[in-house]
Amino acid sequence: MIPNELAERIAADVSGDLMPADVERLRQDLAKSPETRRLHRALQKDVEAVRNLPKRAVGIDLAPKVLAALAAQSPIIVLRKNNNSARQTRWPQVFGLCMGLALAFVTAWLITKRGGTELAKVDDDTNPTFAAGPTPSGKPEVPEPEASAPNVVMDNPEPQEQPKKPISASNSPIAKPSDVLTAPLERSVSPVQVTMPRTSLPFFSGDMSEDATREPFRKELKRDRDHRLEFFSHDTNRLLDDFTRAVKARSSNLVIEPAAAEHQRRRVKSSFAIYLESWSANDFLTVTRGLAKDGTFQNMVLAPINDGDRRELKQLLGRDPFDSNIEPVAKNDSRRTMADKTAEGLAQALDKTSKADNQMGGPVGYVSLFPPPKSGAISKDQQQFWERRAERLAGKLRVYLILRPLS
Amino acid sequence: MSSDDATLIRQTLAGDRSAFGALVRKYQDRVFNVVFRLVAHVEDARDITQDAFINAYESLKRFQGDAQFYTWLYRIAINAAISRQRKRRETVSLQQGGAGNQTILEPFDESFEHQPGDALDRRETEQRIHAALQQVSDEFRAVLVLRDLDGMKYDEIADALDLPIGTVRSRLHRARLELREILERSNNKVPRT
Repeated sequence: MIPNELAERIAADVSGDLMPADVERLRQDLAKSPETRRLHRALQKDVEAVRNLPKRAVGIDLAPKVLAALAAQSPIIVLRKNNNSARQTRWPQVFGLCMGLALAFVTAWLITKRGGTELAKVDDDTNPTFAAGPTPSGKPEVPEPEASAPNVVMDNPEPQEQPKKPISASNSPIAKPSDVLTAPLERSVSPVQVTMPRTSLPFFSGDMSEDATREPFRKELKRDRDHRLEFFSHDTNRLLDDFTRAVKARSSNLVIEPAAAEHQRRRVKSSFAIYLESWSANDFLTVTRGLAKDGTFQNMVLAPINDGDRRELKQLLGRDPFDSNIEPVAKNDSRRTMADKTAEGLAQALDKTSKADNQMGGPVGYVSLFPPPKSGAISKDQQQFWERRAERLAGKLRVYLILRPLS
Repeated sequence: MSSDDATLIRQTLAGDRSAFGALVRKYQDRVFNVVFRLVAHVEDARDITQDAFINAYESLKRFQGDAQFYTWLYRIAINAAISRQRKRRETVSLQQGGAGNQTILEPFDESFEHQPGDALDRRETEQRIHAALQQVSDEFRAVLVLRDLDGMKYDEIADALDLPIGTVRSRLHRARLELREILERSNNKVPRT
């Protein structure tokens, strides 16, 4: 039995790593023990055998495959340029809004202050310019002086002599201070509506088990009817598998574009885009929680739908799903027949509805690779989606989902 | 980093994907050879090699030019290979009720048998070494393959595996002893020279 320390020295010698001081020591050990010599020889042969293993070549040119995969999944380098352009424009808008607010506030403050200053300086009974509002240039409007009337000097500390005559509320040339303060400004100021811009919210899968995270997510989902929801996952194919199962469990279906289906089947690392409009906020909450629990995704980002998203959706589906001119495919509505027809008619309508539902397989979503391929005409699969698209029910959300791989 | 690689990387970052294609062609066989010896499965090795290039492209902005491109690429590929190998073992282990220590041997090139000399013996030896390599621990095997099969220097291996050079050395020595132990256990002869 060779001690470990000696065995390691032999291995080091075979690798050419032994220190000169240890070489002599090893030589003595080798001279003493045939077992040591045998190990030394065997290790040398092993090194030679490993070095002689044939070099394996990949056998195909990977470059086209790699470049095609990169083009299909549009890596982050390109995505950031294309996809965020619409979002980046929001910051100038927010900045402009803030500046507008500040300008309006300053203007209002200046106008108020100017009026208040004038009010404080002018004698109530004597100054005819008291009620004058500010001119467009910001100066108080001064009437043309009459020949007989003395010049009015605003800052004159001594009041001018005026002929005494009775003044009533109706004929008084001067408005009361209270009237001035409550009178509307002559110069119109555009009202500014303050709105809080909605920004993207990141959520992490690890937090989805906590109410503190789920509640904001639920609130955000309920805040609007249209959302963009991006999932980031180490395995988007698995995420799509799980998501498809969840869709089917809710009696819905997905039309999967062939290229996306092929990527999924071959487990090619890809990004997927999904459009879904048959789920409620609670459905999304439940499914997201389930996916997070299984570790299917690592984090997600919820954002409002913007114009860029609508353009992408138009590419995804061939038409803009938010376009109100597009009518859903006519479907039997039992509620309408209930009002108009007899019980027999109602029974027939219900029967037809259930048959139609079975044939159509319930509401439908659409899946494609992300970013959606640009195409002028509506494809067969997109047509299938539009034909099977059902009337959207109240309380259901329109969600543009993107499953992105984490590098 | 070689000037060729640096130029190609710069062009890739400027948006020229064909430059990245040139990088792929330059290193695909070398990466594949190492990955194949780590996972012992041609299709898996191809997938891992392809994914390594895709990941490298996506992370290219973060690549620091102070290291060799290929050592950085190796790091991505080896991590993926080791991860895949672990998953595969877990799967095999579950499917076979815990008896999943078998290695998957790929058929060797038929053309090899047409070479002169003792082709059959060589093939047998190679299969034995290849099979034994698969049983060496992942961390040790990676060092052994990079050193003996790919001929990398210690500092390059240290870069590729993100390890100190001392650790690389000690892992290599242990890997040699482990390989020897496995070969002896397999009750076969040491390859004839």
